[in-house]
Amino acid sequence: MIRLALMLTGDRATAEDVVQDAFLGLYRRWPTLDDTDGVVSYLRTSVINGCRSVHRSRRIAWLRRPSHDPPVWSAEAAAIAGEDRREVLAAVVGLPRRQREILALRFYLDMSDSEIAAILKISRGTVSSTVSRALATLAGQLSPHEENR
Amino acid sequence: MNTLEDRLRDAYRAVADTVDPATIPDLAVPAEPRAALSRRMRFVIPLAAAAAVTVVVTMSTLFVGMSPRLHTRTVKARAVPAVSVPEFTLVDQGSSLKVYNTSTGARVATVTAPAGLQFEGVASGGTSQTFLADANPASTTAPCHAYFYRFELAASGKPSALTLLRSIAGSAATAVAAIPGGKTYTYSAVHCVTAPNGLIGISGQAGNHTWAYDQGDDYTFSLAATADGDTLALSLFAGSDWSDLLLNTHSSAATVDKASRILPTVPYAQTLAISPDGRTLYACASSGGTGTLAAYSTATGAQIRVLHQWPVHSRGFACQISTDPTGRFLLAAVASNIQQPSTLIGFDLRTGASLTLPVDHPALHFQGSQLAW
Repeated sequence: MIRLALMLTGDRATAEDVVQDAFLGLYRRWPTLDDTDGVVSYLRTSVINGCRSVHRSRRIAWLRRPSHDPPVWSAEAAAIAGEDRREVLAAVVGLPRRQREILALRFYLDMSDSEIAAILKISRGTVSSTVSRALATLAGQLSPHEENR
Repeated sequence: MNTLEDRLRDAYRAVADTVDPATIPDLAVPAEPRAALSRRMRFVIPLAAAAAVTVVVTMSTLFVGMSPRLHTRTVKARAVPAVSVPEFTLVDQGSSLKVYNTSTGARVATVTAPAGLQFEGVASGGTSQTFLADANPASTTAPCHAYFYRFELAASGKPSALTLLRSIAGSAATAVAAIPGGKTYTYSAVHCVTAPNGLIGISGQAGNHTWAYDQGDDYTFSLAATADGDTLALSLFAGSDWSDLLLNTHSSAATVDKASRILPTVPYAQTLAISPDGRTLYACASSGGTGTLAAYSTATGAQIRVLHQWPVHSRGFACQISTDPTGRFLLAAVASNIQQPSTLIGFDLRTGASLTLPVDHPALHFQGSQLAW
């Protein structure tokens, strides 16, 4: 869950906070949960919603030069080796929110369109079309990959 | 690794590998968890600070020439005729709206939020006596629900009861504004869970219409309308960046981006104001250590004139603007540093004069639409 949150927020501390909140929400709701088999799905949805709140907060606080850590994919953070990876992740950050979420669910968690649709409460067709748009955008922005970059 | 999909998987895996499970702290259940924080805090509007705010509207009724000057400089009184400013200044403090006599700075009334709710913003109601406010549940454990209200002020400043204009279950209110005259109002709400992300709506004499917005992690914090209600000014993520938009309220398009025109050369601003004729947009920006409140042509996007400049510190600045119902007066709250006091400044857009209103609190932050004339 922290890794998923990290994909969407970019910094570890915020990701941990989001996941902490998601588990806290689950803790509160546990007595009323009818289907404990859906806990993982519930947590994923909570994490995604928490990340949305973080983004909104950051946007709102844009004047404040928010104090969260630089994203792990930034050169400043120096957490990820490989220029190509940083280039890909930087391009992903520029995508609209829903596209970023769907890409992370598809290409990190390897979820199916149906699973993604259920989590995001959108249609499978929307998932598919959103992935297509996101990949088309990235393809237009990213330089062709070269080995040993 | 040739395909874009493979590159994405590789990049995501690299991000994931930065998290060593052994370093993840244990989950904690605090005695007073985040449920104690308000939805407003989720929106990162510093209510705690604002709640302690005391606005001291020290009236210096002399307007001075509106040359672009640093706010910290002493403003010299000139032989300029006094101008009657809007009688009341309203400040949203979350749990209540404070009503100040603009001429004396005295607080004359308080509008308390309905039980269980807190105000997200306040705006002119389209006449000098009417105001609008939007509110959300104060508790994050309560389901999202957006509320939009209208109320009036008597000559003494005493408020009427709140009249509920609209409520939207499952959404949070983010902004409200009136079309001058008060017969029509516009509102904004963000869906808390489901897509699309949010909506802009208009309701009144001209009928009802909503436009969805679905791109970006975004919602608008201010709405401003022209006198004929044909155009709304707002800022949102549109296209590939946060932008200032002019929404055509006659558009039958379903989405904000399709109903709007982006003003690419106007700096993105969290709050905007627009002239009654729709020709001029007012926005704040910062560059090179200077904050600037300026007027821009909506036709060309070109800067027309600078209304005010002030030093901006490295930690960022704050600026919020709104107009009175006539569109003649512009109210601005500016700060050099979000940790330092903001200052209220009134501008007479017709004469080009300005009036400085000191704000007496070190942690005053104005976000969104928390001021109204």
